[in-house]
Amino acid sequence: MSLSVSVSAFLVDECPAELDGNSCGIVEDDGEISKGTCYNQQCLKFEKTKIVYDPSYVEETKDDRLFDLRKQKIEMNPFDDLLCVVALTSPPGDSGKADLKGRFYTYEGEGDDRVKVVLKEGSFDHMFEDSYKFEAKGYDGGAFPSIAESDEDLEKLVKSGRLGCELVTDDGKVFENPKTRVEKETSSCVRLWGPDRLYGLPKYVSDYAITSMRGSSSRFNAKEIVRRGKRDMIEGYQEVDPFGSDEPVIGLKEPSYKELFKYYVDLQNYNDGDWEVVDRHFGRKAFSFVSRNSNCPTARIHNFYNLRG
Amino acid sequence: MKGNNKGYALFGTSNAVFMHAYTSPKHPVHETGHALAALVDEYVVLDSFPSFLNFLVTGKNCRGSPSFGKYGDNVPGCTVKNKNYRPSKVSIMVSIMNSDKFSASQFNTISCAYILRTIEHTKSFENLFNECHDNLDTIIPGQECEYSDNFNSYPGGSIGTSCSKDNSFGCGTCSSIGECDYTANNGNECVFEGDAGTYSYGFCLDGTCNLQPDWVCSDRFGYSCPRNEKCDETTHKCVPDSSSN
Repeated sequence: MSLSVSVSAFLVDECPAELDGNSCGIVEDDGEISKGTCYNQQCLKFEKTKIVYDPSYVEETKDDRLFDLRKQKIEMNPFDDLLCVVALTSPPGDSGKADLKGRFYTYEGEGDDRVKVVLKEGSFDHMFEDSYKFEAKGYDGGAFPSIAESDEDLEKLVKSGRLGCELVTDDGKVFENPKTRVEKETSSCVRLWGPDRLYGLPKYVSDYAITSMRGSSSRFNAKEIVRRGKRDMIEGYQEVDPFGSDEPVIGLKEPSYKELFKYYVDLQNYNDGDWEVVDRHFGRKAFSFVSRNSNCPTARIHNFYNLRG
Repeated sequence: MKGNNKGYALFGTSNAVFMHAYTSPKHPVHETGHALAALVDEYVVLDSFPSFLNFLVTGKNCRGSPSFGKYGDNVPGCTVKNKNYRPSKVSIMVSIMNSDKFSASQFNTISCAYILRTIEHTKSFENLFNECHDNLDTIIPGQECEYSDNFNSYPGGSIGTSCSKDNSFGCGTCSSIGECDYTANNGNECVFEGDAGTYSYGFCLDGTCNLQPDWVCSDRFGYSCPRNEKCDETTHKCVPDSSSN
């Protein structure tokens, strides 16, 4: 088998540190040699890198928040529990032993001024066979996503709407190999709670969505508006009937009144500084602006936090 | 537009509710009552309202005449001072002193029924009212106060569930059936919370707090003095607390 490796033939299952990123050869069980990449003194054949929901988070969400993340139309958001997953082929006998480091990143600025912002760096953990994961827990413990280690960087991720994950070597090198990196669009909409479409709901029964939003005057950061949305849902609506009642809707066996109300948080920071003010309150344009521009599905109520009340 | 200095909504048609950054979690629920079901404030927010415009605030949970029948208590005062009637003395649509606090954390049965009407369009009002009365947690006719265990409990002054005739605290005790007992509290010290977190103190007389201008604290409400001081129970002035050293 001819193999067009760019280094000498000795590089079969071997990778000196100075050759990170160069090609190498992996001898398969059947004696065939396949092309890999030198990475931290390991010869690895990278198959794919992807960002996915943490499977256990998907199950927890179905049970606790009553919706299926894999069926929803909204993209993943910074407050989800995410995994960066790398699948690779390693030399025989080394399966599951790869030592991988990676990072989540986003961008700041636009066009030629766009620069990469590293959100979180760390080591991958072995999942199964030759798959590895790098975690970012967003929902556990409330509004404290670990995908960004500072509030400022979290705002950059919300603003850019773009999340990347890439492998990085010990000395900070990243590869051009597209199989070692991935980028995804993220949503500014966090779905907090509420069932998926209620099948069998009669046409004469309405269900509603309630979305929390923030204006720049509130000075809320992304964590705070999520915290506020959760607080209003748990300590507000769901403690007050009919919004919080587990009784079935009158005349039906299901759903309950509580299940008729879904809750979302829009992470975007809206600049309300120059909105028209009439008698100390925002004018009518603000009402239509808020409901028209929300990043979440059409809601009946948008609770817009600001400093005017 | 309905609301107070902490939040507001356009009633009935509004998809947007504007909330002040510093509000309690019950406040969005109050404003949603305006926006979703066109409920109005059940507290007195205006001294007067032109009679030809009064229809804007009457009809559902606020009526120009005592017409709630079996559905409500016909309590005088609803949005406009000395005018209109509301279905219950306390509810989440009654804010205390135009603030972020509400006299109860539940809707009354009338307001609840109008909210259900936005959910379930085909049922008669009687059915919706009965649903709110029998199956949901609401302020029902005859109920004067909210009898949850922790409502209005003051830090350091374990007064339990409180009710009064003037929104002060300490003058009434809410019974397990939601009735206020005022007489047992006559003579007890009470506190009246003003704007911007200021407090006035006095003693109770049949459900109202007779404020004493020279009282700066209350022994009963121990938080009213600065740290390392306590309230002298005779003079009602803050004095050094030697036991705190």
